Amino acid sequence: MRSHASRRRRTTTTLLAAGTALAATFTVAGCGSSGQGGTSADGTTTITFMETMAASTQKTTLEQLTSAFEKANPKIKVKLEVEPDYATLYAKETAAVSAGNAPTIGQVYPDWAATFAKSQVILPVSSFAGSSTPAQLSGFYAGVKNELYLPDGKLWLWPFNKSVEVMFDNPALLKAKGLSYPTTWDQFATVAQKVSGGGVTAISVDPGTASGPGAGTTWLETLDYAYGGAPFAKDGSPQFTAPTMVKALGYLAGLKKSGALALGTDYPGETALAAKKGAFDVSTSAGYYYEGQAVGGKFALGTQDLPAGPAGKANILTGTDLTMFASASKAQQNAAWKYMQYLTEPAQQATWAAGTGYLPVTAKALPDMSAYVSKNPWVTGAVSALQYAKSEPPYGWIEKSEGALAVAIQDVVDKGADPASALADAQRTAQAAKAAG
Amino acid sequence: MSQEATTTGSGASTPPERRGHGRAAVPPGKASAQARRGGAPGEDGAAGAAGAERAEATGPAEGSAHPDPADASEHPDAASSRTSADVAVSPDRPSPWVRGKRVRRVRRVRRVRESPMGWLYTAPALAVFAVFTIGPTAYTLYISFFHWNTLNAAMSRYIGLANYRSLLGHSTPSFLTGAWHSLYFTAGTVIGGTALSLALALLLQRGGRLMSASRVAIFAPYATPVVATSLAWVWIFNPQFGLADAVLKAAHLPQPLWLQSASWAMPSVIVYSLWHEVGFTVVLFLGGLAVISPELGEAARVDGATAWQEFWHVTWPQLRPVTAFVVIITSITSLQAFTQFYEMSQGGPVYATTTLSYLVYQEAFVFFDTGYGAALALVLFVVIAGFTLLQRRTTSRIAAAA
Repeated sequence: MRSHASRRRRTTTTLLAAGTALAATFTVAGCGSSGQGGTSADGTTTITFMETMAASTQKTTLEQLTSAFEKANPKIKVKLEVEPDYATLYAKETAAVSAGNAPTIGQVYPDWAATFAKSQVILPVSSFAGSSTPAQLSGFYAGVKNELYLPDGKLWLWPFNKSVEVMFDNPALLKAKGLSYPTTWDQFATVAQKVSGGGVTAISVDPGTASGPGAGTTWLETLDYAYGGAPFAKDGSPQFTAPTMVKALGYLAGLKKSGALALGTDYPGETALAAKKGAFDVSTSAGYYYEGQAVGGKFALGTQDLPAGPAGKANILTGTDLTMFASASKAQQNAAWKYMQYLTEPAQQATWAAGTGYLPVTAKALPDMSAYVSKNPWVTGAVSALQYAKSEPPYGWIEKSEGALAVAIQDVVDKGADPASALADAQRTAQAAKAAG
Repeated sequence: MSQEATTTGSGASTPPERRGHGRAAVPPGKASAQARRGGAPGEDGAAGAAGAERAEATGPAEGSAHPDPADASEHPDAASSRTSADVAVSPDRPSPWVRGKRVRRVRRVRRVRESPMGWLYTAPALAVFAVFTIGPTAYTLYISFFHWNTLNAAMSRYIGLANYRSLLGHSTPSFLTGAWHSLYFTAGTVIGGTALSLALALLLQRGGRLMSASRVAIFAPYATPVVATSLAWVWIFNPQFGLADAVLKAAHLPQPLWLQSASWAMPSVIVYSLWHEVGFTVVLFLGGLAVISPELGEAARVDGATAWQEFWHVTWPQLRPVTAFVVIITSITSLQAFTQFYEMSQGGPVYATTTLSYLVYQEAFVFFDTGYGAALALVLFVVIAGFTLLQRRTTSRIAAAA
């Protein structure tokens, strides 16, 4: 009797579980089959573009360019899928691929692209462009072009929103103390110390955290380059214990010790600069409009090239590129490739750069943006940095390794740890990340 | 506070007819158990007398004529023994006819429980539970044995228990570091939250228009979304522009870096969490204070007890079940807390606020080391489940003692 009852219970449970699973399968399948985009009966091809141009002029400029593209190509519809930030973008792209519902194209950092390529979910440019050296490629700045290749030597990426590090400042504050913008990092330390005090901390940065390195970490890497080092070898091996990196982190510790540096979150440099409690903010050129909005006309905002180090001028290429996801149909690939090329044409690049603060990826755009450049002379210096700006090697463990650098900055600047010791910890974490692939 | 005072107070307030009822309804087997829980008033013997005394002390809720509904549902035979028919036939030993009736009733209940119709009625809830809880949990267990490729599951590699073995070896940070931070946060919110909410509840129970407004003010944060208010608190803790530093500066006190300091980041998150959560636990304590016997306190005051003695020996002992519930709920929510860490500190600085919940998110959804993240999630699940079971057992003991 007991065994019969329990068997009946088991049967009922099994049936219920099977029914539930079946219903769930149909539900999931139903969700997955919609929204793929493709070619409709009237021949219109819809492509989806997952991107992060969520606010300010970046959003309106991309919408304006996309609208103009659709007008010129009435059989192509571009659906912009906006994400609020890069962390969310990466999570959404990964989730979409995992669910079999990837966008047609998306913004990616090179190390994300390396992970995607390793999992065979994106396509090399040659597979949809019909050439491994498309016509526009030779016109891109050297730094921009170098970043488009993954370690297998293939062209996987197409440039989109590129920028370099610049220094925003409050020239009036410097002038009031008889100071001027420094040209070397050593001079910067002196000027920063002199301008600090009385409620002013020369510069505030957000190093980020282990799960998301911030602008402060990029600054540390730039300093490493300026001292003649490189945070990563070409094969992606971390070089955090190199003397140049130790010196760079020691430089930040020195600024903190002299009261010229504060760590913070949520764009602390921009906030402090706008509130006249800071004199500098190291950020990317794409922050130009945001900095201007924050300052709101309280003073004339200065935008400068980064000072030089013992090894000369150094900068890091920031921003993302575009990639094509492997699930796109042939029609979508063709339409998306047309859109990608359209965005990097000189006229569009001029509109894009003037509207957003990003830099044009080709020098051919400069004649179309002469009025903007004459109004913003810093653009010339920033654009020239595109020739020598470095990119981190594209491997999947780079972001996690940079997160370890962010922790080292906090450890040294906040807790007063020894730079060499903190960097040794970061090196171990980065090596473990590399070993895990 | 003496037991004498307790008994006196209760005896004066409990209606005699309620205390005297139910004697015959207790079958012999149930008597000893009921005596342990508070006793059947009027029962012969030492256990019964002691139980009666405790029953009077706790009022009519326990050990009185009203059977515990939980017991009734768990033991249908016990529940059925409390019918008037049983009392009429034999209070101590039911007749064969009564026993037969009881058996038939038990079988009928079992048939209902085992009927496929029962499954049909519960199917919607079961389906939701299976799809959104049991299924994902089982899948998480499965993933934890793989070096999982989120982008292309076909490229995942079975690695056995390697993810579990690496729990202690990881450096971003290790499982033990995350566990320590979780424990730190939980201790802060449980101890601080319980003490603070009890204190506030004692203050607010006095009533009056001002106190009513204060109740609303204290509860209001609980109704706000964590994601929004935690961002506001990030600015309150801002070392350059924040309100917290402005207040300390005005008072000529040292200003910590709050969320920017590895030492102060966790206390800062705890302060925010207490601000957000304490309204709920205050309401729980106010509910508890509303149902405790005021006569006991009066008796204590008549006997010359100070306010502290009255609280410590009379009020709080009666609030033990509520306190235990608050501790359990706060512990579980603290171990699961994530949003405030995500918004306020992102696990930093220097991993100072990387709790287990945040670590699971970081590994699974930032670094996409999904297999390792799944192993972490499973261990966290076991920790919370074990913690909950331990506390439930402790609570039962406390409730029994109270």
